[in-house]
Amino acid sequence: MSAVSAVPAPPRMQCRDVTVRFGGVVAVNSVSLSIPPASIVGLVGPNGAGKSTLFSVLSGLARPNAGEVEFDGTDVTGTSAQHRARLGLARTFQHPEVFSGLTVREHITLAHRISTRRSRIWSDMVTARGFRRAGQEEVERVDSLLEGLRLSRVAAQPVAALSLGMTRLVEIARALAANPTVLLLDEPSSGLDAQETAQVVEVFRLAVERRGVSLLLVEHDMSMVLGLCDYVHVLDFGVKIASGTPDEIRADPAVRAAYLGEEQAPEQGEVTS
Amino acid sequence: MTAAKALLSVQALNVRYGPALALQNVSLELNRGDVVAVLGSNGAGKSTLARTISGLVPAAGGTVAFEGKDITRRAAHRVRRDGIVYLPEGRGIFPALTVTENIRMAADLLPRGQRRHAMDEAMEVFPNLAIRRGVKSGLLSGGEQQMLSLSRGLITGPKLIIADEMSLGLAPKLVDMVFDALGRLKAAGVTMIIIEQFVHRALKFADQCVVLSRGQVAWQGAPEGADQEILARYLGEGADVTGD
Amino acid sequence: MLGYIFAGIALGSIYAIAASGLVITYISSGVLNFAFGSMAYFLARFYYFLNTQEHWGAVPSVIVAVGLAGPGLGAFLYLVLFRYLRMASSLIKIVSTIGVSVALPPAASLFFGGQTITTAPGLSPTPERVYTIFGAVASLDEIIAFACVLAVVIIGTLVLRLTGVGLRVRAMVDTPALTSLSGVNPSVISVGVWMVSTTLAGLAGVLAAPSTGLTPDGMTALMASAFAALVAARLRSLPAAVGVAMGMGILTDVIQKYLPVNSSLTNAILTSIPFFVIAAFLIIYLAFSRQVNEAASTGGALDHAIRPQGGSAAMAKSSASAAVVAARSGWSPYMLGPVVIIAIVALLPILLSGYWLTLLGTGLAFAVIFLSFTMVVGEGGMIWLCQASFAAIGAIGTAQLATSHGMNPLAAVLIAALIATPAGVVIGLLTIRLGNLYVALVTLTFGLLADTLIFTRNIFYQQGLGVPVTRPAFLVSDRNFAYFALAVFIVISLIVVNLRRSTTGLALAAVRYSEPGARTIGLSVLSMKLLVAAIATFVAALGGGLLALNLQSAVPTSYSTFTGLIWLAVLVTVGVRSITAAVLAGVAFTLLPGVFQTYLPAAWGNVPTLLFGLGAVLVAINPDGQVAVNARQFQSLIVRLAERRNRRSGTGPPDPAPAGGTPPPGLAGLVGKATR
Repeated sequence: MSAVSAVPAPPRMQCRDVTVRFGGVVAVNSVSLSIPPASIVGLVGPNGAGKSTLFSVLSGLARPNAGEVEFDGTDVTGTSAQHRARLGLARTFQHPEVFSGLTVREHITLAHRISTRRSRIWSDMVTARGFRRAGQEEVERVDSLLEGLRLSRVAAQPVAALSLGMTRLVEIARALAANPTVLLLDEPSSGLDAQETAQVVEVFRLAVERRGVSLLLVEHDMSMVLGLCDYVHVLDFGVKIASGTPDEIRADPAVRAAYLGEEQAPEQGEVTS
Repeated sequence: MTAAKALLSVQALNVRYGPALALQNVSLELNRGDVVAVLGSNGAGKSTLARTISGLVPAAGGTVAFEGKDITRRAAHRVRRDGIVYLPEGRGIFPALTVTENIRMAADLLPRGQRRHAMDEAMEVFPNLAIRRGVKSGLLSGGEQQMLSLSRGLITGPKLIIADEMSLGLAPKLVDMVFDALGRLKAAGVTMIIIEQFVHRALKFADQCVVLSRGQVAWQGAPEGADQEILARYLGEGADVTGD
Repeated sequence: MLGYIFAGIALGSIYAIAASGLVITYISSGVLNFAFGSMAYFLARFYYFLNTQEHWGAVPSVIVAVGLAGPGLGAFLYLVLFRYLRMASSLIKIVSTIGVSVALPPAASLFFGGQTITTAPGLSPTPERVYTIFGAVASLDEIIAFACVLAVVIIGTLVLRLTGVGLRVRAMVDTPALTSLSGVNPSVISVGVWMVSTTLAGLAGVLAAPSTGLTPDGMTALMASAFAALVAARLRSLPAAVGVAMGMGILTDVIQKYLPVNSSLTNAILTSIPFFVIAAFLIIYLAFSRQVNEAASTGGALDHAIRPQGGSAAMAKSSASAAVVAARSGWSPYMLGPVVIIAIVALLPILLSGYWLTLLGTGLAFAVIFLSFTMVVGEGGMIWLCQASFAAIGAIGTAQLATSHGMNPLAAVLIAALIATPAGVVIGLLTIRLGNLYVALVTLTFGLLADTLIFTRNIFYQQGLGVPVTRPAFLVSDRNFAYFALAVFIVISLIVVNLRRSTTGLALAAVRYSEPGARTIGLSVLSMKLLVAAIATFVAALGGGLLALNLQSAVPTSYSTFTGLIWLAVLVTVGVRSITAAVLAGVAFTLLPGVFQTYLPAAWGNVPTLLFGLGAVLVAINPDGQVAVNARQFQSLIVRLAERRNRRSGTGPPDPAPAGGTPPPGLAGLVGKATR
């Protein structure tokens, strides 16, 4: 998969020279990155590195002070999150924003209906649809998503009763139900144990392979990102200090220094392997 | 290191935040005078461990014993009175209170006759605070706030200090100051748990090192050579995730 | 002029005392005390009991009623209720304090006697002494009020600034978590603050009684002014709250100088001051930041970090089952419960007669009104406290159209409900960017404004008799009317059930549980909320019209906002999310007092209201409502039976949840997540 970075296909989404300032503090300093089709891109860095800020800029919740954001070749820098969602950008949250009283199936059904038959939000009120069974095509489509994310077993359960790992999967399933082309994931493995993390990672791979979605992960867990992503960007103090394939990142002295919190060059002495 | 002699003994601790499992089967023992560094990437459960020991967050399972007494379900204010001081992540100060008032809140635990003296002493240790004693602590610089947090913790002569990310967001010179202060405590024989995301400093400082990963103890041992282990945990070298 | 200012200062002093009592409990324990007015009433009533009924002197009476009973009541309520509320969702906080507010007045008449009080004495001896200061007249009561606020401000400032206790209180306000990390027990501080706050409530009540009247409604109106000061202070700043309260008092009296005496316009302007103060400050705050939310304004970073996130234990407990959720698609055995209950209710008109039949009809009309709470609170997750006003618009609209304009009464009910609907939509628009607590505050003040501004106008009020409404010929018999009301209830229930189970309902639930989540799948939070507001308002007004038809007159005072709080308490006691609960609550609301009045001594007449209030308080412990719990056991029994039958026939549904037969998502899950 590491060959993807070499393929000159136009990126699904990219940002160029994005700078964000809060008061006098530069949270993100002239960072560029691109998300190629059907690939997994990681954005990592120590606490306070500016990852979340850049994530907000990409998802449309924050405006950069300088730089542009492009989605499928069109400039979306100034557009709202809703507008980007309609273009095919989906996202998940660090603390899953799920509808805790609804079942897993209802989450996916709702997202599917909104993306395909939006008017039903209003028309259902007068057509007594609440008393009829759902359409066959819709059931099949929802079933296939449930199947794909290994959620069939819990489909009838309200999300509040699920573990955090399952809840994350529901959020991802809900996002995929809208057929996005790019999915932004905000710390998808935080709060999960090793087994749950492995499960989520597998789902990411499947989503990319079967649906051709591009993923951008913002993560604290370097080891997960390095194991999963095709291409990784490392931020520290708002500056991109490294980018490349996981192998390149592992070997990068600047990354090692950033993670061990030392200013002197790490090659000298103890850090050689 | 038997449980009876340990100052602090954490056994098989489990903690949940809502649906999220924050700590899983974490055990830890500290003897009097030990300095333990708790390391791990963000979200690994370091702060949760500190909050659970100090009584802010309830444990879902396991025990915490201090000086041989079970304090697992004890409320935070009683844990503090037992002599455990938690200096929380961010700044452990009351931003709307003045410097003096902040110190007074801490000194109120002392017998009435000793408070004034203890407060004067705290100001002597950190002369910067003495100069700004009437200022609202929310208006202090990050370094000064950290000094204030430290002095609040030290004033009552604690038996155990848990310092959570004291160096976070501070300029290198101020980090030096913080570690100098912690070093004086270490020299005085105070037992400490140092929580850090940045490793080298903490390792130089500690006698023992615990690495948390996804709420579990991933590695435990002496600080010498620990950085290799830690780097491996952080960057996934040798971990099985890289294999496939 | 100076005389008006003196009167204004006295009024402002009372507001300021009330506002400071509200602010200190909010900032120290995160609970906005909607029972403050009732506490004031309870203690002022106790003062009246000692002073007037038992002929104690004013000074010993005030010492006992305010100085001793105040802290006592505060400590009691803290220990039994308020201490459990810190981590609760805003909805549970609001509803359980409303429960207290409903329970206290009947408790007062149980303890102190239920007689109507026309004039309440102040603290000064009668005849009241009058002083001349700078050529203007000031009464002793006015001077006492000002002296009280001065004492409160000076003593309060000295204690907070100079004493160790004050330091701990300020620390607690800053960050409770760090306060306990400093070795201070937060509960001790909290109970102290609640004792002081209740004492201030008593003081404000005793001072206000002579001018506002010693009634729960009067005290609730006093609270509206304090709420206005509170909103202006963004719930947090004590000096701002006191300052705005004083300003409002002075404004209220000074503009009287320029307004015609005893005209309805004057009265209208004076009573709408709190509402306009709230509106003005909210508009200013919204202009600076797009949202006004209370969640961001309590505690420090550490407090947020240790707060349980998302699926708190209570929430998971109250919404952890597939069993009931399965009822949202197709037909299921779960729907049998409501059908059985409604069938039983349908038998009642045959079994009952006379007085009881009339009560039943009234109860069924109430059931329709309660469905509006089911919509707005249950489905929409919005805490609206002005449904009574919408019902009132329905009732007086029906009366005007039918009686004054000769319209068919049933058409009049429908058209009145349509007329009311835009009012709900406007309230929805106005409150869309506000946090839950502000929504409750704004709707409450709106209700109180409507009470005094619209419903007291004589064209509607008719000296307290209301405008008569004639039932259509086929509804003249109470039995027919009961069936008609039941039919309306069933039709609206079906609409609500259809809505809940359709895409619309899913979308509403999505918005209720997580607004950010709803936005990411492309839902418009605004339009969903407005939809639910419109439907709920329509239903409330329809129920109000029915009630007027049933009682054959539209008496606006039967729809006062305080009454509306009792309605909410009743419904919440039974369960705010279910159709069955609405019909049971409606019937219980009228039949239960009927039973008490007929078969028990007169003194017990208030007990049902007391019980409803206590029921709402219990919501803090069981967020689903009491009957919902029993219904759930009943439902799970039916399901088990049905499953056994299915299993035998080999077409059993997949095993539902591990915890089979747990509740539909209740109050705990209603307002999205607990605030983080």
